[in-house]
Amino acid sequence: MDGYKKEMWITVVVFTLVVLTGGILSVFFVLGKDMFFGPGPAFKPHTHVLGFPLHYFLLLVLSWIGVTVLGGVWSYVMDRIDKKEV
Amino acid sequence: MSESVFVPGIIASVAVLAVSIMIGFWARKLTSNLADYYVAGRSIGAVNNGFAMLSLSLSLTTFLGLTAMIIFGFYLAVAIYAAFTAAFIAMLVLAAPYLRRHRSFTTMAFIGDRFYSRNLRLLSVAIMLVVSVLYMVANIKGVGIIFEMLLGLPEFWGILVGGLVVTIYVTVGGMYGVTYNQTFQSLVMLFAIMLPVMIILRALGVDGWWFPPLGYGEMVPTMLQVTPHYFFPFIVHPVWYISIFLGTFFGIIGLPHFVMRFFTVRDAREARWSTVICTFLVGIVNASVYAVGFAGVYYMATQGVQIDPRYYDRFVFILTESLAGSGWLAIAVAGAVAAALSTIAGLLMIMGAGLVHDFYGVLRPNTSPDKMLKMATWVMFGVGIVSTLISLRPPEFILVTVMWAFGIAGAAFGVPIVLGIWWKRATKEGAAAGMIVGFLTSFIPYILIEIVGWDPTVISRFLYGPMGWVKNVAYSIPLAFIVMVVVSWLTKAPPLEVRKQVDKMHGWTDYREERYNGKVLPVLVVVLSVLCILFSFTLYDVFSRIGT
Repeated sequence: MDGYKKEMWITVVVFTLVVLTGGILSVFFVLGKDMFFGPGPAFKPHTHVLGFPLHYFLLLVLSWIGVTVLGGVWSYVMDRIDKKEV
Repeated sequence: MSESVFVPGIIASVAVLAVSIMIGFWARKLTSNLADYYVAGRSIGAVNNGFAMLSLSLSLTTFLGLTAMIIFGFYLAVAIYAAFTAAFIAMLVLAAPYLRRHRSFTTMAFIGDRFYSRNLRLLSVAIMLVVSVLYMVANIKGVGIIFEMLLGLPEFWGILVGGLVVTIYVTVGGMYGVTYNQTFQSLVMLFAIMLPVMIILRALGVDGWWFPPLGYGEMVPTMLQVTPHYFFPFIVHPVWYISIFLGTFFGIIGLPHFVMRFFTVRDAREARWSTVICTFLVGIVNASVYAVGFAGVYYMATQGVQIDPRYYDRFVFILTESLAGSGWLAIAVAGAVAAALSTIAGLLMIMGAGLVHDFYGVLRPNTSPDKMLKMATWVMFGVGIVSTLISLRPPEFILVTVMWAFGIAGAAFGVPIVLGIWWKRATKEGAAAGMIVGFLTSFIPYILIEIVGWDPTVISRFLYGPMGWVKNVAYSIPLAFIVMVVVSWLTKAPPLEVRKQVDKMHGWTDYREERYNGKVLPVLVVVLSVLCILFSFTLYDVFSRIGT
């Protein structure tokens, strides 16, 4: 694939993943509240990981380690494109 | 907190202040021209820049504002900082290496050059001053809080001493001084936040105290009993999270003092990896501060302790003093002083550079480099003094002001920077229209809500709910995108030399017209922006309004 197109596609994919995992992740918890919590008014979290409610754990890990890994992968690929194409 | 003078805290703070000034004077020897003064000779490596960016990111809002926000907003505050952490990777993939290849000194120079307009560069200086002053006063206020509440000295002296120390080392050492100081301050902060948090968690009987970011899960069952709504994400409408996403992702790209760090590194590769390093470190610290906020709510709920809401900003220190002792409090105070200094330094640097390089330099282009260097030094000193004086009348809660700064920067600068890098067809008329619309639709609500004191719901029903004013960003940034794309389409394409800049920013040595010149990106941006605004207003009542 042309280096320019590769750069565009990889950037679009990584940016979208970062938006989903770090940017608007909480929107899914709101829209899918029945999946993460029981019915109101108690709203008790269903699943726990390391003691945390699942949605909170996902927020902590994805918005930090998750996006760091995505950033590392993107940087690695861009290093390779730089070496190859330019 | 301390009514009398807290000697260990003063010793620790004076040590940080003294080392910072020493680094500033040492860095003076490295500075011989304007590139050295503004961008450290473009010689900074990835690790050094990653740590410098960390301290720039961890302003006093991390030590003071975030815990207050967690105590008020529970999950919502954590969501804000989670988005802020992820925003660094958005800045990485959308802007960082491309800005480095552009070889500007500042955001304002980039905008002036990419949009081939002297007037836009001057307008950018004015917007940069508004954004930077908002960010700055919040942080200088923090130094005052530390002096008054933690060291037992009047807030006035905190603002004055903190402001003057930064002014001295920034003026003397330039960007070399700022960079090495920020790296030093990062190390102090990491030590000063992580260790007291470990001690606090241990004192609360938590087995996972040795890893604060994920170690406090065993307190959750008790928390769910005493404060069941702590983990509720649905006390706000989804638009609120979209606003946070837009404000942090584009705000960080738009904040000129963050962007300036990318002009200091050796090349695009160092810009990329420094951002990855910074994101990882910012995540560790932020996740540890969530633990403090959690511990604060837990402590008040389980111990029956009532603390005046006016002092929520100081909760890190209240907990440290109560559960860890005064020795650790001294260390935490030193970390907070370091956090404030590093952010204020970055802001002073961009304000000084903006006034001399982008304002005076544009109006008097024939000024000799030597004269510009001397002028930069004096203007930096003047900006430091004026900013310190402005900060003597600070805002109530410091994170609120910083969040407004993010929104304004995102709408006014983030939008033209992203489109300027990724879309050749972006024109100066489009950029001007987008910047003006973005700035006015975010700055006017700030004036009405925070200065005039209007209730946000009076301005718009859409702004209801906890921290409803945050939702202002959900239309200001999309509107700036729409206006910029539409006006760019309706005006004459940029000259060939400008279009070539875009290929160069992406690292291409040759030029091809079809690169970054398609219709898909602008159409997608407009469609997503329109959907975002529609979602915010028209579809507003589709979702239930639980808890609002």
